[in-house]
Amino acid sequence: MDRRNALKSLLTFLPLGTAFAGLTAMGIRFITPVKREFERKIFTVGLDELPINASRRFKDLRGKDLMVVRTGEREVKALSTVCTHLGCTVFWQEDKKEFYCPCHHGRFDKDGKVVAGPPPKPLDSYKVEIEGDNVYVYFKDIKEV
Amino acid sequence: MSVKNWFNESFPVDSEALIKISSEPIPNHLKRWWWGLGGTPLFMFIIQIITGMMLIFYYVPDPDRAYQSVDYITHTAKFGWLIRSIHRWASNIMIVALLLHMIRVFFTQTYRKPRELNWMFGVTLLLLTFMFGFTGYSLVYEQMSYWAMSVGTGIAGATPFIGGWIADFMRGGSEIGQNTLTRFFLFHIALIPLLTMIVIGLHIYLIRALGVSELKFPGDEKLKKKSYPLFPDHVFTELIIVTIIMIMLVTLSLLFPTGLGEPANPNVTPLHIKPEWYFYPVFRWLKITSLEVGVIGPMVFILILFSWPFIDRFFEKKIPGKEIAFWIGVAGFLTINIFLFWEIFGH
Amino acid sequence: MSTSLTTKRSIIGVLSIVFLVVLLIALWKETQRQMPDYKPTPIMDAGTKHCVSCHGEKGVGKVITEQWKESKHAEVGVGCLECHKAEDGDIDGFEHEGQFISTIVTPKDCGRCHNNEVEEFTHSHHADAGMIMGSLDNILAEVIEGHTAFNDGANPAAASGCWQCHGSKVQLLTDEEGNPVKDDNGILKFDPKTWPNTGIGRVNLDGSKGSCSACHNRHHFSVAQVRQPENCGKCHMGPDHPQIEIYQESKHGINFYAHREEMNLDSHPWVVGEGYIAAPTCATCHISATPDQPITHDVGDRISWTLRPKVSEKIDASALAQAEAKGEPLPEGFLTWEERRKNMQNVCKQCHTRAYVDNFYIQYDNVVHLYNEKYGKPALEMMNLLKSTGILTPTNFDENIEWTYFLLWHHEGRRARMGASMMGPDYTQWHGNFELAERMYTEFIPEVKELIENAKKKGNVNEAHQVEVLLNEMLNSELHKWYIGKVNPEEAKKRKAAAATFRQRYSNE
Repeated sequence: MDRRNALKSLLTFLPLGTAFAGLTAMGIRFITPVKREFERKIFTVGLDELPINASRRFKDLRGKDLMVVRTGEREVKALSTVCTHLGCTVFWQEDKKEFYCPCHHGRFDKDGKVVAGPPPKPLDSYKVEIEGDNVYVYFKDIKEV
Repeated sequence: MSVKNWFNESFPVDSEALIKISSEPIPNHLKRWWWGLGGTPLFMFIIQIITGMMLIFYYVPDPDRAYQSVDYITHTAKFGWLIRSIHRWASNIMIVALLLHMIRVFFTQTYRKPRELNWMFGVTLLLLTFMFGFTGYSLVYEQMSYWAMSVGTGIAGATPFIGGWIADFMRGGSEIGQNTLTRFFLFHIALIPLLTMIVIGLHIYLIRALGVSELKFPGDEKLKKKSYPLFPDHVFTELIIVTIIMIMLVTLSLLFPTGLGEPANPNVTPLHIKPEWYFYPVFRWLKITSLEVGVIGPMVFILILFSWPFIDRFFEKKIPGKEIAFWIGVAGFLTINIFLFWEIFGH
Repeated sequence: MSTSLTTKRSIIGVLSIVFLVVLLIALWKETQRQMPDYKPTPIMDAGTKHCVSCHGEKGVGKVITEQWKESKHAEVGVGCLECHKAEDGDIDGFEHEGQFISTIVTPKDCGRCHNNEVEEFTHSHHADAGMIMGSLDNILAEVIEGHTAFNDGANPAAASGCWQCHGSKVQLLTDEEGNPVKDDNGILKFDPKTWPNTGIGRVNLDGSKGSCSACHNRHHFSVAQVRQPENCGKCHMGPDHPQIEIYQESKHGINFYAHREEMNLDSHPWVVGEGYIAAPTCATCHISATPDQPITHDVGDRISWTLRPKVSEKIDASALAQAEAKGEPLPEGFLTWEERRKNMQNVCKQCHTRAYVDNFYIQYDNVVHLYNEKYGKPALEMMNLLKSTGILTPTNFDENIEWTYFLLWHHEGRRARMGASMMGPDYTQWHGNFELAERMYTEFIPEVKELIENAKKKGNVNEAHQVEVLLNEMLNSELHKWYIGKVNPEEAKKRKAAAATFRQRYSNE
C-alpha cells in the first residue's frame, strides 16, 4: 500500500518537477545571448596590387589582425598574425619567406607551420578564393547583442 | 559535532517556531475556490519578478534603443517571445485575480472592523498594480507606449494644484524623453516593486495577526474539525491553482503572443489609440467629461474605495439593517462595467 | 489519508501532464521560429573610411554612402576606391586626398570583378547604342528638332534626349588652350552636354563603351531594381519602340503586376521556373538564366529578328554580309539567328509547350513578313526611286513624304512587329497595322501621286513616268490591288456574305 502510494506520488510530482525544470531551462537559454555565426566572403585586394611574395595587412570582422600573402602566381594565403605562443604580432619577412615573431623568436613558414621557436601550433588561417584577378577571404561574422 | 548542530549554532533559528508557523491550521471555508483568490495575485507577482528580471537582461531603457531591445527579446533571443508573453499575460491575470479577490471581500463585507486597514492596504496594492501596468507598457516604447505616456502624464498634469509638478516629476522635464523612460524604468523595476513588497508584507501580516474572518457555510457543521492542515492539504490546493495558472500563461502566450507595434514616433499620433483594457473605464470617462471632471472623478472614486469600511459603517449606523452600502457597491460595480463595455464596443 | 487529498493529487498529476504538453509545444514553436534576417555590417577598409569621413557626413555624399552601405558591394568589401580608382594614364583621372581617382565609373572599372558581364555587354548591341551619329534619328535631333551649335554647342535636343538613352561621347571641359578645367578641389570638370549621362552606349574617356549604371542604378546596385520591367522602360517605350507598353498589355506583364511580391526579385540565383514562377520580366527572357542556359549580358543572344530597320531582316544578316564582303571569318562565339531563336525558345519552354512555342513563332514571323512585303519593301523602293530621280531633294525631312515615310517605318511599322513579338495584340493591330494602312493609303500613295503630277508639270516627264510605273506595279500587286478596285470576284462574294451575317447579328433592323 505504502509503495503504491509512493509510486503515485512519484507519478504526480515527476511531471510537475520536469515541467518546472524545463521552464527554468528555457529561462536559462533566454538569458544566454544568441550567437549566430555567418561566413562571409569579402574582397580584400586585387592581384595587380599584390606582387608575388608581397603581403597586405587586414583586420577580420572581429578586429583581429591578419595578413594576406601572395605565395605564387595564383596562390594566396591569409593567415592570422597573432602568434600562437603568447599573442604578439608576427611579421612577414619577404627575403626569408617566413613569419617572424619578435617576442620570442618564433618562426612560421608561408603556410603558417611552426619552423622554429616556442609556438605550440601553426598560425590560424583563413580560407582564400581567387576569382579573376581578385582575392576574396572568408571571414566569420558573429552576430550577438 | 553533527552538521545539524553546527548549523543551528551558526545560524540560530527556532525550528520549532518555523514548523508552527508553516503548519498553521486553515479554516474550512478556504477549501472553497472562491476564497483562494488572494494567493493568486501573490503568485503572479512572483512570476512577474522572475520574468521581469529576465527581461532586464536585454532591455535597454534608452529612447533610441528600447524598442530595438524589445524587438531583440521578441524576435531574436531564444524563448524571448515566451517570456515576454508570460510577463504580459501574467500582468493581466494578476489584475483579474486582484479584482475578483476584491469583489469577494467587498460583497462578503470582510473588510469590516477590525480589518479596515487591511482593506486599505488591498486598495493600495490594486493601485500599485495599475501603476505596474502603465509603466511596464510604456517601456516597450512602441507607438502605443509613447502616446500612453503622453496621455498618462497629461492626466496627472491635470490634478488640481500639484498637477504640474507631478507631470514634470513623472516626465523628468516638460517633454517625454530619456528622463521619462529612465524614471518609468525605475518606477517599474524598483520603486513600485519595493512598495508592493512592503504592502504585501503588511497585508499578509495583518491577515495572520487578525486571523481570517471565519465564515460558516451550510454543511460545514458536519465536519469534525474546524480547520484543516496547511500541508499537504492547502499546499495541494495551491499547487492545483499554480499549475492551472502556468498552463493558462503558456497557452495564452502560444495562442496570443505579445506582438510589437510600430516604434514610437513623437510626430504622429496613431489613428486608433487605446490603453490596456483595465484602463478602459477611465478612458471612456475622460472622453465624456471635461478635463477637470475627468481627472477629479477617478480620484474621488479611489478615495471612496479607500475609505469604504468607514463609509459602510456610517451607513450601517444611520440606517441599520438596510444594507445601503451593499447596494451602493452593486451600483458602482455596474457603472464601472458599463464604462468598460462601452469602451470595448463603442467608438 | 482522506479521499479528497488523493483526488487533489490526481488532479495535480493530470494538470502536470497538460503543463508539460504546452511547454513542449512552446519548445517546438521555438525551433520552428524563423530568425530575423541577418544584415551584414558594411565592410569599410581604410580607403573607404577616409572617403566616408568627409563624403559620408552630409548632403549627396551621405545619401550615396548610405545607399552603398545597403548594397551587396558593402557586404563583400567593395568600397569607394575599388570602383573609383583611376589607372595611370586615364585622361579623366585626378589626384584627390592622396588617391588617383575618377568621377565616372566605366565598364572597364566594373570589369575588374565582373569580367564576364562586361565582355558580354561589350559585344552586345547595347554597347554600340552610342554609335548613332549617322542615323536619321540623330539628324532629327541635332538639325531638324534642335541645333548642334545652339548656345555655344549645347546641342540640347540630343544632349537631354537621344544621348540620355544612347549615351554621349564623354568629354572633359577645356579652357581656350585646350587644357582640362579643374574646380577648387582639383576635381576635373566634364563638358556639361556630355555628362551627367548614363546612356547605355556611352563612349568613355578610357576607351570603353557603355555604362553599367544605365541599368544598374548606383549606389544600391540592387538586383531587384534591375530585374523589374520598369528598368528597361526608361528607354524602351514611346511611339517608336513601345516595348514596356506592349509588355504591360501582354499576359506576361499582367501576371507580373498581379504577382510582383512573389517574383523573388532579389534572390540569387534567379532562375525562371525554379526561383519564381509567377511571370517573366524583360530580364527573364533576354538576360537571366534558365535551368538550361546561363545569364547573358548580351541582350541579342536570344533575338532572331531585328525589328529596327525599314525592312526587317534576321539579326545575323548584316554581320554575315559584312564578314563575307571583307572575306573575314566570323568572330568567335558568333551565334546564327537560328541558334539565338533556340535560346529564346528555351526560355519560352520553361512555361509553354513545344507546339505552343512553335506556332507562336509562325504567327510572329508572318507579321514580320507581312510588314516587309506590304509596306517595308515597296515603300523603301519608292523612296529610293524618288530620291534617285531627283523628284525629292537630297535633303531629308524637307518634304512631306519624307515625314510620312519616317512615321510609316520608324513608328507604325515597328509597333506592328514589336507588338507581335511580345504578345501585345493592340500594338500589332490598332497602333500598328491599322495605322500602317492609314499612312500608306491616305498619305503615302496620294503624296506619291501628287509628286508625279508636280514632276510632270515641271517638265520632268521621264522621271515622273518611272515613278508612275513603279507605283502602278505596286498597286497592281496582290497585296494592294484592292485599292484600285481589283478584287477577285470569289473573294468579293465571300466578303459580302460575311458582312451580311455580321449585320444580321448586330443590327436592330
